[in-house]
Amino acid sequence: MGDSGIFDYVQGDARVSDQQAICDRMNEPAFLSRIACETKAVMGLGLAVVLGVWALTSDAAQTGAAFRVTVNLQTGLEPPGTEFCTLIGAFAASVTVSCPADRVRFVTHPPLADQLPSGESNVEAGIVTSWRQIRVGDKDYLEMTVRW
Amino acid sequence: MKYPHKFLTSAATAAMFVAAMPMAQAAGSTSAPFNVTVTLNSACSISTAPGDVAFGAYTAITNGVVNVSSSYGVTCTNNLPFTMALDAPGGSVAGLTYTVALSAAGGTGSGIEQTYQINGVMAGGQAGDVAAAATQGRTLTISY
Repeated sequence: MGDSGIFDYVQGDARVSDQQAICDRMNEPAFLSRIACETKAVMGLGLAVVLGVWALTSDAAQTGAAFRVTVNLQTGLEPPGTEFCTLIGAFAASVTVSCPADRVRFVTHPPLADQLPSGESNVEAGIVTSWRQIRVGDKDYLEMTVRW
Repeated sequence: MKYPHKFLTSAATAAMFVAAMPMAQAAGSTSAPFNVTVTLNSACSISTAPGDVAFGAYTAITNGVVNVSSSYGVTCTNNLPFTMALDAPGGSVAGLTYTVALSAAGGTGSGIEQTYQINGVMAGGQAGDVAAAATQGRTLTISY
């Protein structure tokens, strides 16, 4: 056992506290100086603990920004060469549609919906139409696909 | 009026002596210190907002992996440490799952804008969902 003070300092003991170790390094052999040194060390360590707790509990400021994640999903179901056409008009058995690139196709003498069964029908060389009759309420609509 | 020559000489000498006194006397001085103070409220700002993380066109099932990135800028007070985080590491758009990550977890303020990236990865071969939203809102947060 070595000399002892009010903090039960034990020289050479592995359990020597931090503040005692600090005073050892500062070479404070005198009893009163040692008390003062260890007191200051305890206060310093206590202050460090308080500051550490304050740093952990203090609210950090924040700023933020929104951004978007986007994608354009392609299902791959669209057959090549398909285009949407616009019905220009129908007169008697003649239907005229306008398609992209200023192409106009004339579908002559399409069968009347109520006279032919559903299916394919060649109505002109190079042009095949498929069609179906859709009844909505008291009206019938003829949906027709034109290919070329 | 006439004055004796001796009187004039003495008067002139006295006048010169009196006139020279202020010139020869050392100037006095005094000083007082004062402090210049300021309370700095340090801050960070997203000076350039992140753009969309746009995966672009993705063909269902057959598409390969897609890697994209979006840049943003952060400006912080000099020597102010900060951290950066996303609200979630991934998500789903149009039924396609993806991951997002930041190019850095944090930094130290330099007083000028520092540029970082949000990196997005979408795995290939996903089927997707045409009924799901193709856009998802996300949030980037800077803490300091």
